[in-house]
Amino acid sequence: MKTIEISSLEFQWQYTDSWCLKVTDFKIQAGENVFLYGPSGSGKTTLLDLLTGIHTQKKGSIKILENEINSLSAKDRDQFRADHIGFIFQQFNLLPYLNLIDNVLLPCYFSKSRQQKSMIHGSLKKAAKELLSLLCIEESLFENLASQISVGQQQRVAIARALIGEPEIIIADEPTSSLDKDSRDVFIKLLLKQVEKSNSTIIFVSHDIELAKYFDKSISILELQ
Amino acid sequence: MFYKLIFVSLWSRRTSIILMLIAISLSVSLLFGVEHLRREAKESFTKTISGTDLIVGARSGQVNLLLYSVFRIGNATNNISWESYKDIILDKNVEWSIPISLGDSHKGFRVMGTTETFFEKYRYGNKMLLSFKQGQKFKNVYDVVLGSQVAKELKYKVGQKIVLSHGVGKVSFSKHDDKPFEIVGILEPTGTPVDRTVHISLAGIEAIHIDWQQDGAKIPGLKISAEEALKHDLNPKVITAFFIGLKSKVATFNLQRKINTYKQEPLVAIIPGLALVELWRIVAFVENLLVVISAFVVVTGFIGMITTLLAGLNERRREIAIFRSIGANPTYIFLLLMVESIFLATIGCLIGIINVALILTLLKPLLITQYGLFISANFFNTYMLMIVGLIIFVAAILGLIPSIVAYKCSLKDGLNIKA
Repeated sequence: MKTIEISSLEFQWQYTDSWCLKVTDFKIQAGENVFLYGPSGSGKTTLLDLLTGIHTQKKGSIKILENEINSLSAKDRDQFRADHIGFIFQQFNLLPYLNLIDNVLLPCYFSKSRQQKSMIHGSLKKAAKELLSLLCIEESLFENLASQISVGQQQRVAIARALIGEPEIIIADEPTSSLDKDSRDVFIKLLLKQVEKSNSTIIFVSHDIELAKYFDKSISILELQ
Repeated sequence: MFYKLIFVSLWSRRTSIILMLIAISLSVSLLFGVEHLRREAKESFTKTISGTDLIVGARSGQVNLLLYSVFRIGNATNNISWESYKDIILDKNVEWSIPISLGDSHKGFRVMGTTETFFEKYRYGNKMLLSFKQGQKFKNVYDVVLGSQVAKELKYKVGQKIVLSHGVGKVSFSKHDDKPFEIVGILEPTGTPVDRTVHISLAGIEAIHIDWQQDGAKIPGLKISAEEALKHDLNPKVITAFFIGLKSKVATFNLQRKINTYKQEPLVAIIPGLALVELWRIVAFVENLLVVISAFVVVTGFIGMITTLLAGLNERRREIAIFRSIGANPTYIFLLLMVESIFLATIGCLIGIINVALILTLLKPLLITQYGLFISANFFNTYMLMIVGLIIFVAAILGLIPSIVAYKCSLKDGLNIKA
């Protein structure tokens, strides 16, 4: 099964006439872990906006999990994202006023399917705690507010949030750029291990070509166009 | 979860939120306070006199007659002869009448000569009769009954003797010091001008003026002692005005017309209720102005709230991107902000209402004892509820501003955090 399938895509911002993103053919198989390399200004962000259904293209097709994203309504796209995609930001992934467990459980509140999958662990709270432990967060921190832990810890909590309820696709947008080299390696290893465990497909976007070594497949966004 | 997110988020911003709530609640307190005082003042004003169907005096404007006969402000233009009074109250519709005679004072408080009927028939507020705190009605010529405020301010007790002054100035050089009066009664507070009035009998008025000329100067060489005065004819010759109670209200306009066209003397009869409303209209300008000002203060309070929310929104764009990434739609973001504004407005209103209730409850005894003002602490009624509704509605409309900004941000920014 193909997780993502893009063909003859053309996307242009409404008011800028000069630049446009073109992707003729791009496929990702289920379970693959993909490193998407792109220097700044190469259209990474635009591509991610299209993949997550924030924006839609006029030409071409984007199929995610066999669904033509373009044909869904804005509301359905949001719901689709809630159900099937876990997203990790560069930084500031967490709501600073919620504790770690509540932060991890946020997606379950927007997606029934992810909530149900989490309930296999007994309770939502238990599911969150297990994931946090697997990501090497000390149990004493679980009830702390997200603003009280280090950036490295925050990024690992973000992995837990992306993975809760085992969504099919994990998208990480430069998640290591705020980390030093050591915590970066720990982060990527932990991430890939958990992604493999939940049988998800990961798209890891970065401008740092050095990270490509951790992934099965590495694609440059410039080659797509 | 939706509400939990709002509360936890508000709690994390508590410093600015608390300041915001203080601003809102103070402005709401001001509005409610002013509005309540206005209503209470109007209420107590229009209830200064009740149960009286007509007030009759020498011909002048109705507000003027009302002012001197009820509020003890200003002076009568002319007197009424006792004969006219007797003649008019012969009308078959008249149930009772109270003649009053003004023109003297005691240490700045007006003296009112009247009959015992005053204590039996004069009503104020919700048809309440006067009652005595101490003592009783006047019986003798030189007896005096004090309003509560008079006794309080001058620290008078029953049994004390006082001297009345001629004229109504605060400082009077011509005193009726040859004919002292004995305090026989002190009235309960009423919250009306009765509290500031010194009551004596009409015979008392006659007695102190027996050696005076009509124009207000002592007749030279004529000295009649208090004892001797009692032997004279003390039946009143003139009075200032009189109150009439009718057997049936239906007769009011007929009798009014009859008095207004009375041939023997130029008289005017007014209906106290109508005259009070006319008088209130003169005052109303100021009170309306106060309400308008406090309404503006409330709007200012809410604009402050929206400004704070908008200023905080820039920081919250990260939050919005996180919500979007986990699948929240823009409507959810909009509602999050909207409910926040309405919640803050509601809490602000509630605190404001509690403030006013507390202040009124605490001040109530002070207002009654110090100023004779009866302000009910129970200010919550359907009208106030409507104002609360209106305030929250305005807050919701203003709350649309940050909500729409957030909605647009969530659409435009998507998953990009532009910090």
